[in-house]
Amino acid sequence: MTKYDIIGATGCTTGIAHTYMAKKALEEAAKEKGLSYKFEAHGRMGVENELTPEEIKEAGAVVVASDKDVDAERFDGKPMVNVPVARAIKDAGKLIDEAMAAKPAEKKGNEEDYGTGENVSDYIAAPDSGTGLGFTLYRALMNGVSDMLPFVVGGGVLIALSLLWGINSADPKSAEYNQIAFYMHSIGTTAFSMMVPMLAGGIARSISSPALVGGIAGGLIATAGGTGFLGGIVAGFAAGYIFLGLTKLMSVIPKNFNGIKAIFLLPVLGTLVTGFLIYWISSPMKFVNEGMVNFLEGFQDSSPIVLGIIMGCMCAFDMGGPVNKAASLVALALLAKGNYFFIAGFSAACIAPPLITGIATTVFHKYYTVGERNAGLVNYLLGSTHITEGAIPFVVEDPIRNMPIMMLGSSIAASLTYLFRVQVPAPAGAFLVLPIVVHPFLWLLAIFTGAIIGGLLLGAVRKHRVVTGKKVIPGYVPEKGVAQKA
Amino acid sequence: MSDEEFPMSENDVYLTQSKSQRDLFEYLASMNVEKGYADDDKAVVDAFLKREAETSTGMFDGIAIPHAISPHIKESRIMVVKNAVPIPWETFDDKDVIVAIAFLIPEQGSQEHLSLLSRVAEKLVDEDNRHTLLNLETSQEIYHWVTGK
Repeated sequence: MTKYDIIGATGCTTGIAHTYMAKKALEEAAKEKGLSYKFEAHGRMGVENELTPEEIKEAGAVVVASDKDVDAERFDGKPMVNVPVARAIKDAGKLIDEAMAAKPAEKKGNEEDYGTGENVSDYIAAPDSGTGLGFTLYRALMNGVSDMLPFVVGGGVLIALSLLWGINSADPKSAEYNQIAFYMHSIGTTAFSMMVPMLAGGIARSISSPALVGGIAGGLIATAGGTGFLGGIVAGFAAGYIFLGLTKLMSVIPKNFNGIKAIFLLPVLGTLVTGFLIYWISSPMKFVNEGMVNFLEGFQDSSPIVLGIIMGCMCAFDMGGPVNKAASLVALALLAKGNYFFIAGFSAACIAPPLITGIATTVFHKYYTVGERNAGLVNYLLGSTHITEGAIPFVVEDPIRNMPIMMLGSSIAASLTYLFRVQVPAPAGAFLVLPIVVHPFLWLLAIFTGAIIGGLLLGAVRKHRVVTGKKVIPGYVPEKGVAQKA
Repeated sequence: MSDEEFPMSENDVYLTQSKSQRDLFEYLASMNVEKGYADDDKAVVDAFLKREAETSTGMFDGIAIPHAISPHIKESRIMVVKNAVPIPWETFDDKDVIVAIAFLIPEQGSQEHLSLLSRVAEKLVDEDNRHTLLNLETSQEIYHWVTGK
């Protein structure tokens, strides 16, 4: 790819004459100075000679000469001049000199768009800019993740802390029962149970702001239907587009009824349609769950490696969804029959994903936002207490790449656990039950081997995306050498 | 230049005696209507003036590129006026205008010639090109300069 010394964009209200004269004048001036250049023209027929995000990232300086909006925010952070189109026709050469001498423009809108990590909602960085469906979907996911994360952290940490009184301390029937632990556990569980509805709500309102109610309702129905976070994602997008569609349909209703549309018709109809759809989609979940139970039972006597891979993939695939639940059911059933081996691998596969995110954000910290780093630290705690869901925000952020990495890490942890013949005689206590685990150190070795391999991969993938400009992290300045190679 | 038919003929060059910008626009508009490029001369004049009110289309060396976008314009067209005397006009170098290259742009419909209009505008960026144009005397020469034919 060519690295341009000077780039820019020109535009005028008519888009016939001045746009192109300015572009030509800038090109001639750059040529005269012996600079490499590329200027984009925003004409009446559309954008010509369009700059790619990579070209912008690599470019030396920017001249924006326009009387209309040419998305100049794309150039934030670059040495730039921004002037009316006529100035470029008049003295293009001087403008280029000014641009190259300019200090990099402040990244405006930084806090709004990417977050500084100081605000609760700034957990995940948004991409720098973009248009089209892909960007809309990505932004919706990121919005869902940032709405969900405080529930994962708040709820998860309260549950984890309550377990310090003993893994049954919240159960009034248990000898370990403790009132403080009970309240912490039930408050934590309540907040935690809102995780998927918040994900759905955040996605929905990013697509259409009145769709929050449809997203939350759909998310709650999906949760009750046992679909896990994948069902929540579906519910969020469904609600967003259903509300968007209804808004369009209702535009035929006369304007006098605008009030009633917004506060009555849309919430009632939108929620009804979304709710029905999610009920309909969730209904087969029971069968998915039963099918997976039968499938897994059929494999319970396979080789440790095969069983470990199946267990790892099931647990890390939907993290609390029907597939993960199936693994949990089988593990608990076998535990009740006195099989302490099977559940050890299950636990390992559930503990690994949050640890993977912790390791990735620790080792590759500069490629993560402040919010993600904090979430990664909390995930050490959530992983240690069998709260797999802590990893969900990191999967939702880039599911296609990150989900397989989680599955790999969990598979390694589970396979090694089975190979080492570890026995765990308790459900879901994670590291809190280490004292009663048979081969506790081998178990830790198995889990951390999977978590470290997964964590390094997760971080390396993120690093690649940041270095190549596919992901923007506030405050991250690419090193020149690295950026050029990429 | 491409084989595409240029939105201009030799008859679209006028040697005029206008005294003001408005004079010139009124003359151009009446010619447009006469030749069937537009159907309402007042609307075309208003369109030219509206564009000038946004920012002047005056360039350098006594050249301007007024343009009009209007639903009353039926096809994109280039018309060139060379005036006998300089007309007061806001330009980059404060020189009054002698040559106006006017662009007529339909609001909707056929946009096929628009890129050719843009190429003509680009030519004016070059100082030598401008000086050549100013020294041309006949309609035929001016027509060849604009179209490159």
